Amino acid sequence: MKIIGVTACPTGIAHTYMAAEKLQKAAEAEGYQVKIETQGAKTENVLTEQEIKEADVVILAVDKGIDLSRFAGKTIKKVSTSKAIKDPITILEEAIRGEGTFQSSKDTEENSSVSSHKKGLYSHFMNGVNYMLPFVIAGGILIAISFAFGIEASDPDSGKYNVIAGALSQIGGGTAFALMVPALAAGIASSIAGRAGFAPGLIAGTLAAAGGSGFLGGMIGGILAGYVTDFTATKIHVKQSISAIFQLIVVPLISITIVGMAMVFLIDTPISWVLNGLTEFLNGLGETSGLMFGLLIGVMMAADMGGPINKAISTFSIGLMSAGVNAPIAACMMAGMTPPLGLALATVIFKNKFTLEEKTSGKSCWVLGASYITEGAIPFAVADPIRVIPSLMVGSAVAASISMAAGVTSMAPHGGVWVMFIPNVINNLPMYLLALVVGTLVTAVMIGLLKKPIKQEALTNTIIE
Amino acid sequence: MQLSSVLDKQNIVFDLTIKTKEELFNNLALNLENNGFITSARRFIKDLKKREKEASTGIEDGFGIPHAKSKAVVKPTIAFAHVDELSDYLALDESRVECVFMIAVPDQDNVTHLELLSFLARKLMDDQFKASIKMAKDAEEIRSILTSLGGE
Repeated sequence: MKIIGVTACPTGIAHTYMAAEKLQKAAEAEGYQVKIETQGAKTENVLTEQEIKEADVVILAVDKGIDLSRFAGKTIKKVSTSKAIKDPITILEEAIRGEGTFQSSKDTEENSSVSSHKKGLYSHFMNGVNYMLPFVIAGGILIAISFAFGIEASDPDSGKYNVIAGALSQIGGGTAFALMVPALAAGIASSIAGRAGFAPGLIAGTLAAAGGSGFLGGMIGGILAGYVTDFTATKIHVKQSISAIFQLIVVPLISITIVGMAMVFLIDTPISWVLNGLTEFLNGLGETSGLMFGLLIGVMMAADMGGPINKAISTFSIGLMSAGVNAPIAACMMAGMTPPLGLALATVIFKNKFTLEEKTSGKSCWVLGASYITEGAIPFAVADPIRVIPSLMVGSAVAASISMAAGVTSMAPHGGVWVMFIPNVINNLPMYLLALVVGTLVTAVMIGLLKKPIKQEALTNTIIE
Repeated sequence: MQLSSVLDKQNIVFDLTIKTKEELFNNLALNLENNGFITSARRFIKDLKKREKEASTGIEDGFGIPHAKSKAVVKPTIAFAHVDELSDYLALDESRVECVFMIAVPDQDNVTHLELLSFLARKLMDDQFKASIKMAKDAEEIRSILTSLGGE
């Protein structure tokens, strides 16, 4: 029996070596051949290709991410360093019996791309979220600050125009928010195809933003860009002599063309049909009963947060304002506030269902939600769309229908809680606040019920990394 | 280089009145600061705690190995303490930590010292070594045990 392993810890001073020593001793005591590579402050006792090839089992005692591509095709047992220090014999036995082990990908030819395929969609989305988060948080907070100058202070045509507010709004809303979806798509595509995926991803995301398909379009665009680029760059074989030119010119040209065409004709065009269809449908509704219309507003507002469905309903409601009907816009604003607020609350109540990063960005969601910046919820929706989006829809629907049923009207189309307390903006403040609280609670509880707890190991991994 | 060369006699503490992890860190860090091995005990403790938050550095049989890379550290140093069994500092086997080797490493460091420290970390997995450290009654004994280990 030949056993190899790698140990690594964040500081690289102590646990790396303690774990290595324990595993080594335990294996030697059983009479196995053993070699443990220590990735501490520097990497020592490096495993050779030959040793990896001959090994029966690989044990990883690591508290940080390490490159697994070397171990393609191997049976791997992965534990924390403290587990290895505490109980090396059990780990050894389990590794040999194949308990709790996993197979690293078999394809040894193209290590880099294979390992990224193995990561699965979830981690690609998470990478996209990481690229997107700074835009959402900084942009959102800047917009919120611009509200502090007065709700129309950023509008040059308004009498209350303020230069600083205008600049903040231009930076936050005009630029950071405009780059949010491109950054998401570029992050997803880079996670799949490496650096080559960045440009096609950025283009796909920008087309999604411009075409109005919002973050859902950006997610699709990012995946598409990533896989198309990866395929072009690794699966098409060209002669060595022209390989450099191929990678530099042909790969980006082909992938950007394919992805761009797909975004324009397969995503954006249908999306604009949907947008038109929805608008016509809403126009046909006329003055439907309050409660039902409230439900509809809530569901649509939270469905895609800035995508076509959301745009259809908010534009429609703003249109109604000019006709003197001010209840739908109040419900819209309400339905747009509860998603970030509900998520913020959920990260506080259900601590085990969110990663450390999510808990941190949950804090900024309080500000974003209160300012009616629904986009704060997008990173959570991207990470777990199937569970998060329906929860947000239910919470928003409840909030919006309370607002509609109580006949609350708003004279302001935007501004969140910052406009609520200006006299005469909201006609029935107590009911509006009730809608806000109930909607937020419902959203948080729904998320708590639907979302699965983060696996403990994944949780500690993110903390340590 | 000798392992004993990074453990100065001044940084060896025997003090049974120390009852908590907080007191232990304070005592050792202030000692290191007074003896000129670190520039700021406060900063170093902050970095120790940051590492501690990731996972306890308690090992086994009442041994702990609190360590940090910190800007406050002047040169790589080990401090040793034998204190009362600490109820708020548990090892991996749930035993209460009473013996600690505290490792201080500068933020940027040359590799020679790190090899020495990793050598100590490995040694701490040896039951005989641990037993002899636990039995030691004063700084001289601790140093002679380390000297007998030699180094690289």
